[in-house]
Amino acid sequence: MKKILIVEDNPETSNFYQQALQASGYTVVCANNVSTAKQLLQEPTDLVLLDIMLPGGKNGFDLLQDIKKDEKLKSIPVIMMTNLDSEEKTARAIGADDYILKTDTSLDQIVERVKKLILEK
Amino acid sequence: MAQAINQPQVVVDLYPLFAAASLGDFSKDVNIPQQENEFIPLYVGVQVMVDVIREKIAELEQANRDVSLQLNKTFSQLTSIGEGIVTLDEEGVIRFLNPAGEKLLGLSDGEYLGRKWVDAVPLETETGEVIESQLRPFEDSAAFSSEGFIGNHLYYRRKDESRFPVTTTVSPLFFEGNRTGHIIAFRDISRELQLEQLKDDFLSIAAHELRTPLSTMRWTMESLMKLSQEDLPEAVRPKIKDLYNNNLILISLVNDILSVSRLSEQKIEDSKIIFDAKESIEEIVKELEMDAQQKKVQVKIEVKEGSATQLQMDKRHVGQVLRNLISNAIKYSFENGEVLISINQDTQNRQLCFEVIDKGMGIPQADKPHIYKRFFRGSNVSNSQILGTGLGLFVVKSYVDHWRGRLSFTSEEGKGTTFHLCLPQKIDAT
Repeated sequence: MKKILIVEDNPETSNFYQQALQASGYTVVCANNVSTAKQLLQEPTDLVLLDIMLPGGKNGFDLLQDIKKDEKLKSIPVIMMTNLDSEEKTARAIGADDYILKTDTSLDQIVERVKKLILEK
Repeated sequence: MAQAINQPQVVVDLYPLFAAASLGDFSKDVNIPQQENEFIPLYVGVQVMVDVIREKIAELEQANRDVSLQLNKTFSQLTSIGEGIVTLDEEGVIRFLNPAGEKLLGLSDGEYLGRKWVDAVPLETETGEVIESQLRPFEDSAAFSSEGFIGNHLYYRRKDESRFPVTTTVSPLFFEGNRTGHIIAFRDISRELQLEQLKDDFLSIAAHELRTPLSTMRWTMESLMKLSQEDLPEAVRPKIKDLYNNNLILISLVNDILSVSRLSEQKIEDSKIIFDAKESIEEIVKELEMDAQQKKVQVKIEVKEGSATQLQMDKRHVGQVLRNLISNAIKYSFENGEVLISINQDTQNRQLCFEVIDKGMGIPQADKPHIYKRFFRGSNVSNSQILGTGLGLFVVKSYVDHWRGRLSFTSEEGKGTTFHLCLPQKIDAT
């Protein structure tokens, strides 16, 4: 069973992803900040859904950078999930595999994009 | 003849006057003899000449005073003005720099007079790329914008290596029809840029904060609509669909408002991702399904055989353009209407072309020149129940222009509208 890490500080939003992904057969683990996410990444992970604005001093770009620089982690696909619409270029430049503007995307579309990236991996 | 010239009295009378005149003194009058003699006309003529010369001198002195006054005025304006003003001769050598310019550039007169402007004051882009001297001194901000420096502010580097963002206007100087140099007016725009940044940050944060509850609402309603008949009373379902639809309208409105602001300031950040335009259209049509169902409008997508439907552009912005066109086609269709979206690859021009065809209300002839104007709504729809802001087509047109694509339409009131859109399959530089 494929495992998805959700890094999102809004519990309501995190819950939506979790339910939609679990309903499609994925195992889901959640973190609400970068340091918890890093601990969870010690375990094998198949994809990361990553918010940009996060509490605790480090943001989603910092974690994205750490993942893409780490030999062991860099092959994990990362989807940036945000409501900031002007950061896609930056995110792609760091190595984001997809960039989703939350308002523009239905839960079904999110699941589709997760499936697609896991298949491409 | 020889006798007349030798008349000594004429010479005696006129000599002192000519002697003084030769030294620039025209104050002496001619002493015209009382007795009639044949030289009287000569005496009178010389007196008239002296009078005319005096008059001309007075006029010249007045003109000189006027010029001095004007020069003083211009000079004090140039020295007190807040903008930097530099005048260059034809070789681009600095001939004058006003105090504001000296202060802005950190230069004192000994350091620049006689030097070439391009050597004394380097000009560079935001990323520190120095503008080559052959492109200067014609460093008119407007000219640079049209040369592809859009969005890139230009900077003057000071003597102490610090720099400031600058806006410049260059005017040629002419003398008697010949170009003699340039005058450049320049201004530090740090403060404007700070304010612009503040406004951008505010817009981004405001949009982010608006979008957060909108996405939660969207997903809540999506989840509710998936509930079984047992869990969700049938009577409530249409109301949730309504709410969902309105939520999508709000989301689209937030996107359009933000785009209008960014487009008007040419601050569009495009990513360049390869995506399938057909898939994007299918997603959009699915999202607009409820609008279509309510009006019983059938939406069809057709791809011309052999067309590759991939684009390498900003997926979201292209989606916004297509969504606006498709949403309008459905919105302005009559009940039981039909909307056809066709995709056709123009391999020759490396473009992907779309047609969005409806058989709806159409655009009145008189409104056609105005449909891309901000907040404009057709006279046949503004009083109808069909909601709209008049921003959609403005956003569409602005994006298409930004990508150097093509957009046109044909329409007949009461019969329908077709929008033709062609986009470059790959954006190299925006």
